[in-house]
Amino acid sequence: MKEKETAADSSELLASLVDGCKSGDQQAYERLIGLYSPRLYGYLLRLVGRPDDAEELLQEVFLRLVRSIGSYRHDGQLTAYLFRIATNVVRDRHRRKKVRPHQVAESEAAEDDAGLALGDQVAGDEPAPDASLGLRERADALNQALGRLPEEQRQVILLRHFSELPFGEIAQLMDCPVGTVLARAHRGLKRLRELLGDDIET
Amino acid sequence: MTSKPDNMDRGLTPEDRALLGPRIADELEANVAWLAGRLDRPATPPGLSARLAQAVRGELAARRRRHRILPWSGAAAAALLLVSAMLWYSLTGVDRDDQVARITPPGLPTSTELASARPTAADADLLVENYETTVNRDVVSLVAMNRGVELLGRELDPRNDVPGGEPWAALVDSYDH
Repeated sequence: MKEKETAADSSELLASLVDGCKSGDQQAYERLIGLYSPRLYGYLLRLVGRPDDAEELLQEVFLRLVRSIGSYRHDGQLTAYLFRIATNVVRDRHRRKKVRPHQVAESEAAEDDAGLALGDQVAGDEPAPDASLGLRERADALNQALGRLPEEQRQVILLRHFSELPFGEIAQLMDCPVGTVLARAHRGLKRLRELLGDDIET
Repeated sequence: MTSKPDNMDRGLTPEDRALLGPRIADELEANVAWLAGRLDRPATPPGLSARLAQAVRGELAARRRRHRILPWSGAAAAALLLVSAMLWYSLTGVDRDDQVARITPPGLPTSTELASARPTAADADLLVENYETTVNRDVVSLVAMNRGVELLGRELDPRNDVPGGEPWAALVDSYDH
């Protein structure tokens, strides 16, 4: 009951924020930024690897939102809408660079080996080096393994993780059948565990 | 500081499970939960929200400016187009006549025909009839205005004068003599 009320409140809040954004209300945009930027940033960072690139892309996501909000019809799918924009922004970036996405990921994973990107960001605010060393190593290994997955698998896994959307909605935003999305998630996660030598551990 | 997404225990929908089959579905669910326990949401860089808000503010301001300028630029473009068209018409009379002759509907006297011989009442009737029935009223008006009006020696504005009205009646009458 309480959960339903919270969902309804959240839905009403989003609807009012969308209305505010449509009328050009800066405050409404700021609320949306506050609500969504952590998840979108996480998604973009894991996809492109570099914090400055992730921030640049996140800025582009919100600029595209400003430009397209007029034609957006709010039907409770704002999360999917924002993650679709984010996915398109990354795709456009790969097109501009004219490289295959997972090549970027692999080269960035290689840079991670030199301690340049993902690992630093993941544990950047962790205070005690001794306490966080294990966590940081684990995070580094996970990020490198993610970078070695094919782009489609990595994207599905990260979308599921950061957007918190069900696979059916992820399939819609990626314009592909839900069976394909499920298969990518299954293969990708299985491969991820293999890469980490963690395929037996539960 | 990092935090974990809070819904990763939601699992698969019954539809997802039906698609995958129970064994694969269980495996996928376990793997999703495994990742949720390992992959934290990264901390956002300090000041990120403020920078994003500033970018949005800039975009909103730019859009407002564009909206203010757009109607005026549209009007200016329309005016420029109109002046260009008028200039073109006034400077290229021969071409204009040729064009009018070329696009005059079949059966209607062309401007050349009207110029070379005194139009008959039938021609005038045809003009009026065509004006009322053809979709290409501008062409008929132009022929009448440029040739018929010259013969009459008076101004006739096809945009204002209604076929069958006084100027048109005068035009038709003039052809009878």
